[in-house]
Amino acid sequence: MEECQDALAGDAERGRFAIADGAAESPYSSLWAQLLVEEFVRQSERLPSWANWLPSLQERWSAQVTVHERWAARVALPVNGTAQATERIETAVPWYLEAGLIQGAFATFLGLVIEQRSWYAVAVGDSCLFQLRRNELIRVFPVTRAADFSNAPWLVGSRTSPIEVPHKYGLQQLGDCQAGDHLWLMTDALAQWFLTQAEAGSKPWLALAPLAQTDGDDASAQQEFAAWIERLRSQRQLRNDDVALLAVSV
Amino acid sequence: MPYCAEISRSNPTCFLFLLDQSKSMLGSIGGGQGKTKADAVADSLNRLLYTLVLRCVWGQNVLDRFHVGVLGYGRQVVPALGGVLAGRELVPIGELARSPLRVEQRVNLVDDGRGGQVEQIVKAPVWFDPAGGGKTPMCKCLERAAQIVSCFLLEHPACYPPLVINLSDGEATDGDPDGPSQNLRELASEDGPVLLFNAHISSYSDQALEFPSAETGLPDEYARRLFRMSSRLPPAMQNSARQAGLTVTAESRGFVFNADLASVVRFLDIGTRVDLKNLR
Repeated sequence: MEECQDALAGDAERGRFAIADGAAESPYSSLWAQLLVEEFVRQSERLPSWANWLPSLQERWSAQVTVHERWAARVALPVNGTAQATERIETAVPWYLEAGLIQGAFATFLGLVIEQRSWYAVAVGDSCLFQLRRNELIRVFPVTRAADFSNAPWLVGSRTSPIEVPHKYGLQQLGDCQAGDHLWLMTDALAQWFLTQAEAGSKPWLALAPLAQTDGDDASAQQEFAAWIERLRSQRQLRNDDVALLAVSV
Repeated sequence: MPYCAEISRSNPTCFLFLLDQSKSMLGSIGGGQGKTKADAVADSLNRLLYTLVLRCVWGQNVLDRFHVGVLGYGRQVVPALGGVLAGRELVPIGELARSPLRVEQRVNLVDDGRGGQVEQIVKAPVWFDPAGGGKTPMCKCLERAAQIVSCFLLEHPACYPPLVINLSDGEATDGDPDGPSQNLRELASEDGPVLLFNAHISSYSDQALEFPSAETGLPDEYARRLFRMSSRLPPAMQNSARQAGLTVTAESRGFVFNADLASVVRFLDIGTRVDLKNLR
């Protein structure tokens, strides 16, 4: 793992949860993933239209990146007078980051809303939702077969039009939920492992359940989860990629 | 199965470019656009290095997934990186990214999203300027390349096989390059034999060809020889090429005629998830 680009957020009282997997090769994609999940959780509309909530978020990403780049430039270079300072800021971005900054950051996204006896989900790309009831897997969304994971998932861009990819290729799903159900949100590497295991007839949720039922803020639980992930990696069951798991119990 | 090793910081591979800098390269390219073959290969190499660096950008950093070298052959066979990298045979790509000779600005026309186009200024790093003089000691250069690659393989025995890319007009003056090129292609890591690809730039034709499967149809003996010297595309690269809309077969060679090889760099699987066709 080179650097974690996955993000998650949740508000249990309002029943809103989200995870996102920032594409590591784009600049500031962990910031983008974080903005996406936090903003989705903050929204009041159940599944807001992308055109309603994405543009202002894109502006925030752009503003934060610009501030960061300027700060980096000021640290790196002496500033002599305002005009020159502006010019230096423009030239301080290394050439190899410029293309990425113009293109923007990218992330997969999965948002979940739970209202009474129903859940509603929206997904772009291959972060996945698994629903468990009485120790059985009853729903999988949006990728349903392990073979369908690829290196080119649909991604939400920080500079691309909200009415393009997220609107056209985003998927929505709804389902019912009962007390005692578990809804797990996972980024692609763990989700792929989970589906592979399930397809082979084993019950991966049994291994994951004790880890998923701990408090995510608990340091020793985090360590236990990390050690478990490391074991799967060393057995080559899990791709070497960021891993995020958000476990919701109804 | 060969050509499956992960390319990463902990298991880097090597890209060695062989750059024809002989006098014949000062001749103009086929089709006569007022450009010399030396101009064309310098452009091509600068674009290749640009593409290679961008494939290693991770957040705000350049990961050293590749070690890169350039050997020039003309008056002599010498490491051809300039500036602060002068004299070095292989350098980690992060260092290469930070050390072009200069960064020029180019104007690209891009869609403005409202049906029109706007000018966008982009930075274009330059590591090489066109050069030409002397004969074409391609055999000697291939032998030197084999030494450099051998050293790399000793240090990185499990690497994705090193890629050697020869940019030339194909007119070797120090013998038949078949032997030295075969010796080079027989070097191997645990993941498979070294890949030797050729980009042929011609004065005699402006026809462009990418990854042909047979030498029939190639316009001259120089092209046919460079084709024979070229490795077959590994299956994963064939798949990427097909996805990019190119016609390739299991027999397709890493050979292009009057075209650049930047696509080869894009075809390497380094786990990237931002796919250009998915951006729209």
